[in-house]
Amino acid sequence: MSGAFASSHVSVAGMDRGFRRADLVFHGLDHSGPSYEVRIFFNQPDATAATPRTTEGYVGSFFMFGHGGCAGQPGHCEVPDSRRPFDRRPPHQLTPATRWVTVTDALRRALDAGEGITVTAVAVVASARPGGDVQPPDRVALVTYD
Amino acid sequence: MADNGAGPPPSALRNRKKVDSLSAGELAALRSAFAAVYAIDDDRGFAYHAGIHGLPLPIWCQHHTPLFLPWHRAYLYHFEQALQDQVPDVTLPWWDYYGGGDPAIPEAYASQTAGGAPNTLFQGPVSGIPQAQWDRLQTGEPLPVATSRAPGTLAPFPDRSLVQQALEAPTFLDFSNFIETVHDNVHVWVGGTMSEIPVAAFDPIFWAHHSMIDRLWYLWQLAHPGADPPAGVMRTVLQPFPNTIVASTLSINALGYEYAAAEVPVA
Repeated sequence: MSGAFASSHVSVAGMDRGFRRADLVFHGLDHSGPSYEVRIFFNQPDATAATPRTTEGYVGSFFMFGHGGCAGQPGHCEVPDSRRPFDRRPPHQLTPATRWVTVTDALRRALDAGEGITVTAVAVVASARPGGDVQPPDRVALVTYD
Repeated sequence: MADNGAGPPPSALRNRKKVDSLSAGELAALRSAFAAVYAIDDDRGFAYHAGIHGLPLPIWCQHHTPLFLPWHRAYLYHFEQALQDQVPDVTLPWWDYYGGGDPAIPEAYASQTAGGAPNTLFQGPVSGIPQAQWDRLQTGEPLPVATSRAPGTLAPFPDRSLVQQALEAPTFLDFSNFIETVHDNVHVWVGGTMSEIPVAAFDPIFWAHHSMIDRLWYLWQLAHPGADPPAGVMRTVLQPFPNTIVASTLSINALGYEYAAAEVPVA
């Protein structure tokens, strides 16, 4: 199984080139199911799990170690939307995660080419057993640092 | 030596050594320690410790949060204590990911036998998991009785440059982010039991893998003195370990160990 998340076209034409580092930050990552890899491409909107890492526009990847499903009874793996006052217990185990990938050089190349960017993130399940689904991230942000 | 309150003198520290540098005697002692904890079915034993990470519920491990590194340092500490209860001088060795040519499970963990007997580091017993909890995972496979691996079938090994990127990270959260994806990648690369959280810690290689991650955190700490986890988590309790908060894990010397490549007696 694999799934893809594609951003809308992001213009970088007016972006300040003075940054020393640029990260793609993925918020709200699911880790309730199988382990998976997220492969990230710039300007390859049709990228799939079969798209090689050697393809132009591949900018990196990251892995998510998964919980492999829910071993509890119904409701056990539901992450509460909010917490009651005085609930001092730790956050739910399956609280969505944040992870980032540094894309400094790739962004500079895109700026040099005068292009906008389409970010395509392909989730590739890393499991020997069939099935297993990965929810897309809540949002993805391109963050630059001076 | 005057007591300066900084912890035990260096002579009391134990070295965690590279797997491939262990002497025959050290390796035999490690195998004996694993055999001993495999045979114990109470809370001194292997199943209890492996089960803390995943099944049986509750799953205590911390991943994808700022507690990832501190929690696993505490976890290794407690399991190493359990091993030392059985064989006093053993320490958890670390897997040097890039020590050989092609990525590979270290020979000490890869051979099925050792000295004519089953190699206790090749696979571990899986026990103590309620059938109902396993069934709810819907793996389509029976609850395993022993661990298995399939190295290299699910993902390529993480490139060494990713470790270097982590070591150059300027802050704790940045280091943790980058080293955790290396960690996750290695779990997936090993495959089989190691590839998902519920039973990963039942594989003996889990402990060598995490010793390497812990060592990399230590190397990063040495290069970034004072770069601690965020203040907001420093007093967070690392469940289920008694008397252990994040701040308790910051000094490996205070926990009684060091990382070394090898230790060779000369006198």
